[in-house]
Amino acid sequence: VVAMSKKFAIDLYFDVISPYSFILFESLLAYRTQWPMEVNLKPVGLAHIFKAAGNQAPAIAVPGKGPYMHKDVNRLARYYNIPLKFREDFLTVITTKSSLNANRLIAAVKLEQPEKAEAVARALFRRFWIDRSDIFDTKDFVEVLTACGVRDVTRLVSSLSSDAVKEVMKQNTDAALETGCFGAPWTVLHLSNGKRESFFGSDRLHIIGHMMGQKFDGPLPAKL
Amino acid sequence: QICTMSRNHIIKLYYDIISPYSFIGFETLLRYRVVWPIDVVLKPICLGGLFKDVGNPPPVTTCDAKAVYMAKEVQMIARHYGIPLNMPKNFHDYVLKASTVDACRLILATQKLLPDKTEEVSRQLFDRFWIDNLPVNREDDLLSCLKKAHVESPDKFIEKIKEPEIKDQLKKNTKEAQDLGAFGLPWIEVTKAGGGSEIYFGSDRLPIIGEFIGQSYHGPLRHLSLF
Repeated sequence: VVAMSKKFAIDLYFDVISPYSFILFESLLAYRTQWPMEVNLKPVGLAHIFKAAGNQAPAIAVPGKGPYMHKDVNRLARYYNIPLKFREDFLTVITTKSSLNANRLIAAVKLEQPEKAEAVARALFRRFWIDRSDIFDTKDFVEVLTACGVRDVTRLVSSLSSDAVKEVMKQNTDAALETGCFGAPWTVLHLSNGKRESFFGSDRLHIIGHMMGQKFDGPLPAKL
Repeated sequence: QICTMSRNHIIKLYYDIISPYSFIGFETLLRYRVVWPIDVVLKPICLGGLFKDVGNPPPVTTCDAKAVYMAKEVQMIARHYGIPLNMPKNFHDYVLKASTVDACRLILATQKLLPDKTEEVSRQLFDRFWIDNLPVNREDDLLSCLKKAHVESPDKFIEKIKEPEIKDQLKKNTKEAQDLGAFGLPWIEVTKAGGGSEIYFGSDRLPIIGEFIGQSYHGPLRHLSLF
C-alpha cells in the first residue's frame, strides 16, 4: 500500500551573502526526511530587495547591529552544527563587492541542470561562510561548478548576464516582494487552502512546521 | 542532613511596554523559571531613548513591508506561546506620538516601593496595551493597572514616578542596556552561576540561552500560560 500524502510547497528566497540564509537553507532542508514538503530554491539579489522595499543591510543601517550579528551567527553555528563564521572583512565585502553573480549562478544551474542547483547553492554558501573565501569572480564560479560535477562549466559561467538568467532573478525578486519581503531569508509556505504564509529569518521553523502539522525538534544534522 | 546550595543563573531582562517582542520575551522567560534554575531581574528601559542614542529608527517606521510583516508575525508568535496578543490598529501612531515612559517609571516605582509586585505591575501594563489595546500613558491608565495588580495606595506610586530618583533610574537602566550593546528590545544578559555571561537580542533565543546554561529548551510551555 502506497500512501500518497500531498507535499507542501515551500519557496525559499535567499542570497548567499546572507548568513541567516545559510542557516535556514541547511536547517530547513535537513527536515526533508521528516516533513512532507517540497522546497523550491529561489535565489534573489538582496541589494535589489533592499532597494525595492526601502530597507538597508542591518550592519550598515545601525552600526551596533554588526558586532551583534557576528556574535549571534558565530553562536548559532554551534547550535545548528554548521561551522559558519563571519569573515573579519565582511563589512568591506558587502560595501565593495556584489553577490549578485553568485546568486545568478544558482539560477543558471537551476535552469539547465536543476538536479545540481542545491549542491551549487551549498557549495557557494560553504565557500563564503565556512572556507571564508571569495564567491565573486569567474575563477570562483568555475571552481564551484567543477567541484559539483556540473556539465558545460565555461558556458554556464558566461551565461550569468544572459536575458534568461536575469529573467529568473527578476521573477524571484518580484515574487518575494509581492509576498511582503524586505530581507533574506524569506520563506513562503503554500497551504492546502490556497493561502500563503510568509516568514522572515531563520527562527521560524517551529511555526512553519506547526502549520504543516509537524513538530520542530531542534536542528537535525546538516547535510554538510 | 545534607543541604545542596546551588546558585541560579541570573538573567537580566531589559524591556519596554511599547515593545511587543518584549512582552513575548517577558512572559516566556518568566515561564521558564519553572523548568530552569534561573533568577530573572526585570529592567524596564526607555526604548525611544535607546533608539535615539544608537541611531536606530523604530522598525515600523523604516519600511512599510517591515511594519506590515511585524504586525502579522507578532500575533503569530504570541499565539504560538499562548499569549492572546492583538496588534493595536493605531500602533504606528502610538509609536510616533504617545509614550510608555511613565509606564516604565511606574514599574521602577513599584520596584522601589513594593518590589514583589514588579512582575505583576509589568504584566498588567503589557496586558492593557497588547491584549486590551488600551493606552498606558495617562494617569488613569496607570491607576487602573495598579488596581488590577492589587497594589494598595496606588496614588503613592503615581506620585513616586514624578521623582528625580525614578527618572534617573530609567535613564540608568537605558544606559546599562546600551553599554551591553543593545540596539533594540528585548535585550537579555545571562550570567551563569559558575561565571561567564552572554547577551541576546529578541524573543527567539531561548533555545540558545538554554544551551549556554546547560538546559534543554522545552518549547512554548503553553500549559504555563497565564491566559
